[in-house]
Amino acid sequence: MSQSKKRILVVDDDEDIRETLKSLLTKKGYIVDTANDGATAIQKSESTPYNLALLDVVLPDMEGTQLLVKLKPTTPRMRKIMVTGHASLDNAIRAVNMGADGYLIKPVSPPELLRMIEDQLKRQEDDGRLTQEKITSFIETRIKMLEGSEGGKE
Amino acid sequence: MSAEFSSRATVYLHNKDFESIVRSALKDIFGEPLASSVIFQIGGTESIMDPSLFEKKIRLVFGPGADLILDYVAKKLENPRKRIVRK
Repeated sequence: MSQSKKRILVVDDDEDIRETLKSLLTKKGYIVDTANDGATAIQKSESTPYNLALLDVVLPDMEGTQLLVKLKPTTPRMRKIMVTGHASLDNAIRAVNMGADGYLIKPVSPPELLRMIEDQLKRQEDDGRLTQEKITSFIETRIKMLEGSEGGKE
Repeated sequence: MSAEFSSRATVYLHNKDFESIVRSALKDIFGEPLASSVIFQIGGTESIMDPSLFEKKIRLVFGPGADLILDYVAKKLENPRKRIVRK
C-alpha cells in the first residue's frame, strides 16, 4: 500500500476522538501520532516530518486556526485538515484563509475522512512531483548554459 | 548515466580533490548560497568527500535531476582545468 509510510498527526483534546482516529488510520496503514494540545503538536511536528495533520478547531491552549499558522514553519508541505464540532461558513472560510487544506464537521464519517486524507496526500505527491520537475528543468537549463559558455571559449 | 558515477569519479580521486570539485560544480549550477544549502541538506562535508555517498545523497534529494548533476561533476573531475564561467 503506497500510504503505508505516510505519517499523520491527530490533534484533539478529546482522548476518545484521538484514540478512535488513531485506531482507524493505523488500520489503514498510516503511521499515527497524537497530541492533546497545540504546544505538543508543534513540538512533535518539529521533530517528525508529518505528511498530514488533523486539527481540532478548539484546543486547550490555542485555537486550531492559530495552530495552523504555527505549524507551517515546522513542515511547510504538511497538509492540514481542520475538524470542528461547530459548523459555520465563517469558521470554514477562516480556516482555509489561515492555511487549512480541508475542513470536516464532527461527527466525522470515517469514509469521508479517509477520502479526504487520500485526496490530500495525493495532492501532496503531485506537488512534490511538480517541484522535482521544475528543479530538474532548472538544473538542465543551468548546465546547458554553463557548457554552452565553456564551449564558446574554446 | 550515473550508475557508473562512483567508478568514474574514483578514477580521478587520487589526483584531484573530489570535495573541492564537487563544491565548485554545485556552485556553478546553483550559485554560492544555494550550493551551501544543498551541501547541508545532503549531510554536509562528509557527503561530498566520498563519491558513492555523494551519489546516493544527491539521488535522494534530486531524484531525476541527479543524473544531470552527477554527469556535470564527473565531467569536471575528468577535466578540471576547464574553467566554467557563470553567466
